Amino acid sequence: MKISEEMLMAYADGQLSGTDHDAVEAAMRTDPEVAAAVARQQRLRARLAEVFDPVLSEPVPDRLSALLHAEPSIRDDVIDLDAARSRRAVAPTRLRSWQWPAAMAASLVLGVLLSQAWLSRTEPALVMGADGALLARGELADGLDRQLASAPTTGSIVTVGLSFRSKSNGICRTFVLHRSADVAGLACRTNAGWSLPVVAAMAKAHGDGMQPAASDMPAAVLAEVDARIEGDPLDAQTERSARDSGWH
Amino acid sequence: MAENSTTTVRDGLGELLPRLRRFARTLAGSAHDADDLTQIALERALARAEQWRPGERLDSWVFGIVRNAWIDEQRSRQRGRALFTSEEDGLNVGQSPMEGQLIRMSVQTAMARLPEEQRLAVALVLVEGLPYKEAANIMAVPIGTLTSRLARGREALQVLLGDGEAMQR
Repeated sequence: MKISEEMLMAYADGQLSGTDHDAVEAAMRTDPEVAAAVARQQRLRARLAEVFDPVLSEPVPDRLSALLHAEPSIRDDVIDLDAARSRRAVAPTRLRSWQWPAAMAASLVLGVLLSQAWLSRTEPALVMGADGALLARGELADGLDRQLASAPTTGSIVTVGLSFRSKSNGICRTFVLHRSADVAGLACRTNAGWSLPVVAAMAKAHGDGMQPAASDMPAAVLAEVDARIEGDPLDAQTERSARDSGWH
Repeated sequence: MAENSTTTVRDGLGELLPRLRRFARTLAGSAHDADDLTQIALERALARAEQWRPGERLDSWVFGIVRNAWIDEQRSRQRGRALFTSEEDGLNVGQSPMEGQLIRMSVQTAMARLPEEQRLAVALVLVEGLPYKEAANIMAVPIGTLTSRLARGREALQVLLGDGEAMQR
């Protein structure tokens, strides 16, 4: 049986079984070239292991292990309402009647705590909508309506990082609201206006009004973009026509 | 249910952390960039824990998230706005005359010279030891595409590391 290069590699990678596996081993015993070729593949694995395996026994940096201990949504100053809602949604969909009051109270408390703490402290441009979704108002809503990621207006209080079509076929846009502390988030167009699935305070990085790259966004916002985006971000022309048709 | 799967994912990620760091190191090269990449991937994995299905290999699932985060980072680098700085390790290259260090540098330099898709294939199969099927899933390609990338990546590494086929004969 002729041993192909492909079979040799599959053997070295432990991907062969049965007759193929036995054929390679038989060939290794009788054909020094086959044996040398397998040995060569094993040398490469060994060199890679020598370089990369020591990472396994390095101490894990605190910033990484800490992530796995923290509660995800109330961590730092990130307010992730979707995460909060999905935790509430843990309750079975058909609640027995006696469970209602407790579930409702829990959801009210959570909503009030997040929104009031946030609103009273910093931000009049964010309001809690009737269904518990955070909505953009005032300057933020104006900015989201008008600003283009592809053609930012200098001096505007709102900069848009990228616009994209979401899996549920609406338009979503990442934004930075420039205040004393910058606020970054994701806004998605709904019938009620711009709904904000995630909002996070942001370290002041540039201060020169430079348009933020999508990669400058807090990880919580990026994760939300990642989970929602369908295809690529809108190009300049598509973004402009989406704006001109009211973001539908 | 969602609560349970989030806890399962978080515990599983804790166990996988050393391997995640190793995988990130094979992609990003410098320790600092690799840990930034690991951090981003962990945050994304936690934010989407409910998308992981019990029965699906958790390592494959989160390696896929690392891969996507890495590709995003590559794109943003190409736009000229790097999220990571790579000075730290770059400055240390070649400072130690120890043999171990020299081997490390040459393998890492060789890895860095591979095209992205070949490096991924090498990292998943040769370093992480995943079966072809899992590696192909993570890279979202058919198995035949994976094995041809793997073969090319292998050959290129062997040439770069002075163990090319020509030297055998």
